[in-house]
Amino acid sequence: MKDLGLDSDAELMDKVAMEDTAAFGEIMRRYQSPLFNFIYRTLSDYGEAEDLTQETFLRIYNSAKRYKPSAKFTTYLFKIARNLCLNKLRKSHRFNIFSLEEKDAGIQAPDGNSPEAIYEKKETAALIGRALATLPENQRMAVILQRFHNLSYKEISKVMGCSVSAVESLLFRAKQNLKTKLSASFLDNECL
Amino acid sequence: MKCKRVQRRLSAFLDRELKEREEKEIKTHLPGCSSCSKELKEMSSAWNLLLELKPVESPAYLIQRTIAEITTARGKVSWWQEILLRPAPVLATIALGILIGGLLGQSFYSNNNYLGEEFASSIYLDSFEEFPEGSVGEILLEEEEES
Repeated sequence: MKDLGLDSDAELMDKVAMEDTAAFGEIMRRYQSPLFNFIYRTLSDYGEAEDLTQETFLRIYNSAKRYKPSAKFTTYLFKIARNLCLNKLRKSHRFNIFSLEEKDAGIQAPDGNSPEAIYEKKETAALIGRALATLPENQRMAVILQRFHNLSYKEISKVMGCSVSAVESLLFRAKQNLKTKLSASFLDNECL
Repeated sequence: MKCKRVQRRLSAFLDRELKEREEKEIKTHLPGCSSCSKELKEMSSAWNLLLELKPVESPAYLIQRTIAEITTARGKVSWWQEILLRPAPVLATIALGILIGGLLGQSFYSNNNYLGEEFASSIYLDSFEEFPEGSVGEILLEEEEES
């Protein structure tokens, strides 16, 4: 049996179109973590990130026959996820959110650190997470795609359905906002 | 390049999204401009702080859950899909239903024939009774016969 791990995304999607669940499993293994993290950072809710990750994959599966590999698979994946996140945010009327219960989920304390150091790291992550979560949703998504998923401005423009210059503008304003939000806690010490 | 324009492009500069010529212009401008250098430093610090947020571990059961959802959805087939997917057994069932219905119907009517006759005679009986004596019907009938 051929190792699916060697197949390209487009080859796997061809197989998914033929209802090959093993190929679909390989797609999920490759992209579960980036997709989950994108949704989690956008919604700041672990449970909702779980549900929307599954929903995104189900949509990918159901529309596999219509998939054309003209763009990178991740662009297609994030575009579906972005639309689902926007629907979720609009339905629940949440625009600037940050779940305090989930705020520490993003930090991985190295083994052997003292409880104080771990606490400090968690606090730092919480403050940064809060600054990110309180950005306007379009700025937040552009930041997540650029900073955590290394998408180019052109790729982000495809995911977000806007021009490259609009992405540049979003990221410029996002950086200005982050600078303002984080300056009180961190930047004064670092930049002086 | 003027400071206002440089500061507007610092974000893209930081993300390495500028064209070579523009990037070179900014690199030339920065050493001689404390204001733009400060702006870049602050922006860069805020931008780097984001990397303190480490990836969140996604739940391990998510793949199994999604595959199970697909398998369940595949099992749910509507009646018209059932006809399209498996026409022979569905059509055989329909034909059998018609056959059984026909046989039952036939035996029901053959056993209840007397009822039909009784019913027919009961509704036509009154229609052929003679008109009562002196009634308008009798007079009209007599006139018709005479003419």
